[in-house]
Amino acid sequence: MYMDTMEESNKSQWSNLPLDVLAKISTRLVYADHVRLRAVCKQWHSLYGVQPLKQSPWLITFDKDSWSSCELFDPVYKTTFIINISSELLKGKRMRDINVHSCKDGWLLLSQRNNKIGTSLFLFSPFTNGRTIVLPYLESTFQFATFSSTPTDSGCVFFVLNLESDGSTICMKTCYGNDRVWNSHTFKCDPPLVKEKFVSAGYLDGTFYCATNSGTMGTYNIARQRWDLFQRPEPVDMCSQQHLYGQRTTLVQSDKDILLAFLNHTPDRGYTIYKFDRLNMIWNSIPPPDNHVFLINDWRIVKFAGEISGKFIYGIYRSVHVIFGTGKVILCTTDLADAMWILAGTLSKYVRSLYHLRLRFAYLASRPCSKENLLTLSNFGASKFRITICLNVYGIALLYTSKTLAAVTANTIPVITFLMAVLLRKGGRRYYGGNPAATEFLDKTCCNIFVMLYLSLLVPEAFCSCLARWSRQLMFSLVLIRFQFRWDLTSTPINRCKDLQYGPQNKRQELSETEIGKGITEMLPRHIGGPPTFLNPFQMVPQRSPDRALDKCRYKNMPQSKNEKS
Amino acid sequence: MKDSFNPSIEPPKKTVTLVSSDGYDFEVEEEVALESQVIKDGFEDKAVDDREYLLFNVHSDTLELIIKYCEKHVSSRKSISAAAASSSSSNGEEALKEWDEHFISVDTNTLYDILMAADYLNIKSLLDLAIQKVADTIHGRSPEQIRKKFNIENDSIIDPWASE
Repeated sequence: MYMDTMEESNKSQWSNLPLDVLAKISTRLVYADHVRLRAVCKQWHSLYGVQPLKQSPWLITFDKDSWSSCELFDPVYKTTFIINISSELLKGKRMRDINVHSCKDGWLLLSQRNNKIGTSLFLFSPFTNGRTIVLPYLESTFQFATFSSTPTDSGCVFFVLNLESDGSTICMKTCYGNDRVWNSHTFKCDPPLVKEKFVSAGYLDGTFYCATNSGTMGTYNIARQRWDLFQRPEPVDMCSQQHLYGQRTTLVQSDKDILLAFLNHTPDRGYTIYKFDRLNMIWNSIPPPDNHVFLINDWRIVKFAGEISGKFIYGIYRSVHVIFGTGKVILCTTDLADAMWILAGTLSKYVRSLYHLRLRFAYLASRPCSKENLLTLSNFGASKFRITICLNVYGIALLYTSKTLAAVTANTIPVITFLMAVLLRKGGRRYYGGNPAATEFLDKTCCNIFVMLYLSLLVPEAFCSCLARWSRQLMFSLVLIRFQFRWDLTSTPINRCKDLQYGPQNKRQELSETEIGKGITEMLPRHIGGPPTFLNPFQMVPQRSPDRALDKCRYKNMPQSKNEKS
Repeated sequence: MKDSFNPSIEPPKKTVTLVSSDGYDFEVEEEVALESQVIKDGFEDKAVDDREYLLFNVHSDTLELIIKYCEKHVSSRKSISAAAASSSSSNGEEALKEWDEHFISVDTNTLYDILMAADYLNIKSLLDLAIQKVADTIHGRSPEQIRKKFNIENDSIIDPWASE
């Protein structure tokens, strides 16, 4: 029997692979492989509903403030797919016309913004030819909406939640996949949740977990129709208590865990992460998970957040926080263009970043060439190249080494900046004539060189492949800095003051001693732009003249000049 | 290996005879045969004296490979546990992994035979190994490349992104 099939045809052997074996194979493959695998032949196409291997999330981005098309980025294959959206619900809509509530398994839960009280919710999947599913009309407002599993499953539950403005009553509505009605459930909150708002949610084993902006969590069990409230976790120590509990909390669902991430108010913007112990119903502080990447949206305009399994899609609407294993936010931003930059840098997608840069340049270059314009242009160029170099370092660090190392390199920046400042014996922002862009650029470049050397010790090939790119960028940046310089050294009064204040010693000595008091009081206010009382004569004295008589003279002069000014 | 079973010589250890689909007999140690969950289950059910298994789905070439795999795993497991008992350091597991990798580096037709035989005989470690090998082969390839690699005929034109 077996021999017959062998001799019959070698061609059909693999395509006749039993589906259960094929399913076992596909559990070891990522989503993009599934799609390709199903396209191989008819038999393989019948494979359906196998959960793919856990992978980094797919990213969805929208260009030009429009829902007409979107781009999907697959971080495994580092490819971008442009999806034209043909759905009438979305076509031609602006970004602000559509609210994004949550996403799961490649589906986005959206609603149209209108002035009516009710809301029409619908689902959209960029993976399935832009398929949409319209949910029954909801005749009330809500704070957020989410769903339990893939919407095409009959067991999927849609869930909306609304907290009354006084915080005493909570109203939630559920709708099963096949039902055409929303079922209402109302619960009393005791004590009332004053000034709180539910911002994020997760679903695990028949229970929706919802968290407010301050970290209070509510759970709703669908089968038992039971609502429970859990207070926010106790801080680990007094130090973290100071920084914890701002307005920035997000509930993240990760595999079989419910995690709560607090953005610390410390300068490093780290996260404190708590895991919910579902057996004992308490929060436990945990170190940030090592092998996870969470993308959490901007906290002010939380659109959707969380870690999802399945097809891994995340929206970036305005900005992105990326947490790595060390619990540090190593990248954060405020606008979409920068979000693209950062994603580009992180995922080493340089093409897109350069495209954005070219656009901005084109815009600036199209305007009449004035002194200010050119200064802006060069400033912009210098800063953008600085960012690019920084991001390249991150990208390479992430690609070739561990995430821990990437975080370490991020943390070396302030240290190296400080060391550079000490080495050059300048107080922070002083070198390059106080030109802030140039100073910053120098800081970062020095640091980048250091990081580059550091990396090159570990991965020589990374060093080689990037050296060419860096040198090109560095050359261009230096040209830009040179430009900036020329404008800076033009003899405006401000620059003259700068020379006096920060310039070489011999320039100061040119002033006769008697003129010092007058000179300083005349010039410094103009430079600082503040009132003359801002001056602190005590700082100047030991530097300028050790002579006590002159000190007295200056003390006499100071109030006089004040009076003159006022 | 393809010697037929000779009943006149009594082996020192308990043996099991496996018969391949093309009629060859393989005499293996009981321990080796018990790597297969199917044989193990059958062994518990069957009478003690019946020690012949007809494997209708497994060709002699494949069976030979599979016996080789099982023998290697049984012997290396013994040596690893012996090393652990004497608390001497050994890199037996790593060596076994290397051996596995070398073992599974075969052409796709043989891989298919091993995969199907491992599935049929329910040898978990071998099935895992074969499945991972297939997955690695598929990963990163386009449908056309997969077809070429596995010698599959393109019998339909399916839009890769038109899933579900």
